[in-house]
Amino acid sequence: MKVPSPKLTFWERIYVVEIIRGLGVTMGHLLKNLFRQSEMPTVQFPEEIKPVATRHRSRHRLTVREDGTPKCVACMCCPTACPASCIHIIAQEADAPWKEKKPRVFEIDLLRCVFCGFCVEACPEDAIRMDTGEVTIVGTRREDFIVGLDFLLHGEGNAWREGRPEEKPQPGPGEPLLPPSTPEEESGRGPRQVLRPKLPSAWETVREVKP
Amino acid sequence: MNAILFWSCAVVAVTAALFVISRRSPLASAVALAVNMVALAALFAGLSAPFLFIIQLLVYAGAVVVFIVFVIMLLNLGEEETRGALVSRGKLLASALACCLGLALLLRAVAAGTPREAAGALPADFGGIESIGQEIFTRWLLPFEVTGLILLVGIVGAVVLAKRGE
Amino acid sequence: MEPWVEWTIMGGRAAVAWVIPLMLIPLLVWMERKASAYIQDRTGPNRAAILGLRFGGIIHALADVVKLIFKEDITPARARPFWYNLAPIVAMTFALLTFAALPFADVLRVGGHEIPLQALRLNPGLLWMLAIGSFGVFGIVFAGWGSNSSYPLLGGIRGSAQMISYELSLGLSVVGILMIFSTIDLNEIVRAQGKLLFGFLPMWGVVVQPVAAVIFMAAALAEANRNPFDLMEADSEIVAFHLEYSSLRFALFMMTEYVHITVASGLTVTLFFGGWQIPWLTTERLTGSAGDLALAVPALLVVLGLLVLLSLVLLAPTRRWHRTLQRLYVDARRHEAKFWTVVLLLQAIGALALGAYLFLNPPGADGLAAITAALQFVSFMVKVTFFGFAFIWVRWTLPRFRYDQLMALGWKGMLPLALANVVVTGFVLLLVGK
Ligand code: SF4
Ligand code: SF4
Repeated sequence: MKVPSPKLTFWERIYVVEIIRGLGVTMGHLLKNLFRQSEMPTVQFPEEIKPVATRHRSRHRLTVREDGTPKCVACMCCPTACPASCIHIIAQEADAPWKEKKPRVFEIDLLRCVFCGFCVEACPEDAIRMDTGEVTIVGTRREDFIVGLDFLLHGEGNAWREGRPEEKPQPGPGEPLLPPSTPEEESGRGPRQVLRPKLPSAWETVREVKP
Repeated sequence: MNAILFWSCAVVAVTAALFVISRRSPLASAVALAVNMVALAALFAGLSAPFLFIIQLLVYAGAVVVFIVFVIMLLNLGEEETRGALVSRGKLLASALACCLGLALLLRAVAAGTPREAAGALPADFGGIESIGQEIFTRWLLPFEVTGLILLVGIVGAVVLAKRGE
Repeated sequence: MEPWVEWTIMGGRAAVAWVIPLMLIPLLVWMERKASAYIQDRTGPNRAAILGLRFGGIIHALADVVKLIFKEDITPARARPFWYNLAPIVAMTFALLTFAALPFADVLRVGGHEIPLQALRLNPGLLWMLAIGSFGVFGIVFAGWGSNSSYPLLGGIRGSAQMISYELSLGLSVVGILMIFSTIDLNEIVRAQGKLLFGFLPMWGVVVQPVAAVIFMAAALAEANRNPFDLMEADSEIVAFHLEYSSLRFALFMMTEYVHITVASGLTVTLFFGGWQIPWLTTERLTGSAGDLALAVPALLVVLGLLVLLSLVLLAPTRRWHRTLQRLYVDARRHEAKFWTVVLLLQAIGALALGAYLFLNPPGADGLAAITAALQFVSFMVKVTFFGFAFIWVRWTLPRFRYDQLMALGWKGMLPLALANVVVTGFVLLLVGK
């Protein structure tokens, strides 16, 4: 198809005048931005942080009851709803008479998460929310992005900025793959065990353990 | 000083010329030609002909060789695949003649000293743009114009040939 | 003069002609990034810092250099190594050599000696520029051929065809200038532009040859492969001739582009914008060799005064900037404005001191000549930098030509226009009876 090109006037056809007009436009922008730097739309990010919208979805957190225990009852609704299969829960029997289960391991692989919010919608207990406001999640290794129960419950601030926790040795052949459930952990306020580095192969093995 | 310049440029020019005819890759030949042209230009400079020096650079090394190189690129010529017989009677004869000629020239040059010395004293504005312009547009006007005409004929011929192919 | 002095001066001249384009590279790169950012309502580079000093983002040029040096230098397995390695060297060498013939100040007359302030004093200096400039094609051709890969080859062909085409317009547009000033010595051309037209207008090339100036600048853009004629490397659209290059070899090509800008703007300035001439102040009037008052010292005093004024005027915005920095940053960057305050104050004090010294001790003839040369050098550099900036400015204003439009403009538009300009100039000169 032949697209007719617009008819140019003589002055437009010899370019020069139009070029000078164009140069005027760009110079106007340059001078405006040079002398009014504060009016530039750029946000100097780490120093200036734009507030996130109220209905945003950001890094997950697990809510707690008044006694400090997680609200989550390990009903497995959220891993079922998750389209990215990135929630990993291992349940254990709860001590309270009015609930059956509680999570022993609750891990989210933030690298696989697509931040769709389905887990929040699926939860019958309002136990998981995505309202921390943390949208910059920084790590230097893949394992850093697998966040565990303690971090989701109590992770204040951006733990990724605070440096990497010490590496834990991988379990040997005969040792149990799961972290032992300690009294502190039972109370829900154990020493903060921010991130558990783990290799993907170990991850796969853990999945198959049936407590 | 002048002798050093002359002899080094002469050696470079001849070596480059040998490269031109002995390389198998056309681009290498073309570039050797460019080096040859530059060496010749330097010889002109040594002969107190600054205008000719620049023109040699501008027209031959700058324009003609660039055009040759451009055509080589455009046709994407690889290395020459087939070659005729390496040695033939004609080639031998030609080489022998060329060697004799070269030897004679060399002897002549050694005997007479460098061309600059041979030429002796020169007028003040020799080789400048004014004197060359004067010569070309007065004494050699007719040959100059005829050359222009021949070039024009060449261009028209090229255009006609190219158009006929369409 | 003793031989060693002579050799030192010669080396110094060559060094200046070598250093100017090289030093302008980071400046031009910085201008390209920062000006383009402001033109597009962005902030541009402003992060890299040394001890908190960011110099408006110019430190990024240093960071780029470090990055390019330490990147892996790859020669593709199928490349033709000789040509591949030769190409960036050839491109850079000829680009730098071109600059050698440009005069950066008038002939300096000190102690009865004449020192031409250009690296290469050639009678046909203009032709040198054209000749060596046309050698630049070799770098591109070698790169395309040496990479032994289709896209660089095509890029090389595009580039060389473009450069060959626009060389004609470039050469022809200059002819008008030669006819009017009737010389091809670049320094003489600049001297001739010191005359006045109608008694008040400096006879710059752009005044007497406006059409040629426009054609020349357009062709110079094309020769330097800059937008709107940067078909050779058109970053966003087609693959460039230096596709296969990495590390410092690539950096050489990149730097060559900016050297080309310097050369093009240097030549534009020399031919059309009075070269080292300061408007209305010829060398004779500055040094006072024509008998009247030497204006070099007053001119220098005016320059120094302007410098002082500028420093003092800039103090207030620096103060405001300081407050912004204090609000924004917690690291060393928050002290940057203090540094600049000190620099501005030192600059003002230095300029004042120099002015006072000159005022109290009027220099002799040699001193006047030196001051004149310095002023002319500054004038030349200001002009060259401005036109370097103008090339960048044009790049961020105009969209790119299509290749057929490029060729049509070159052969059907600019070439006939340049020829017509030569003919008309000839007739006018005949009528005026020069
Ligand atoms: S936000 Fe979506 S992808 Fe992420 S954990 Fe929840 S359900 Fe899975
Ligand atoms: S849906 Fe809610 S309660 Fe159920 S496992 Fe997930 S977080 Fe726990």
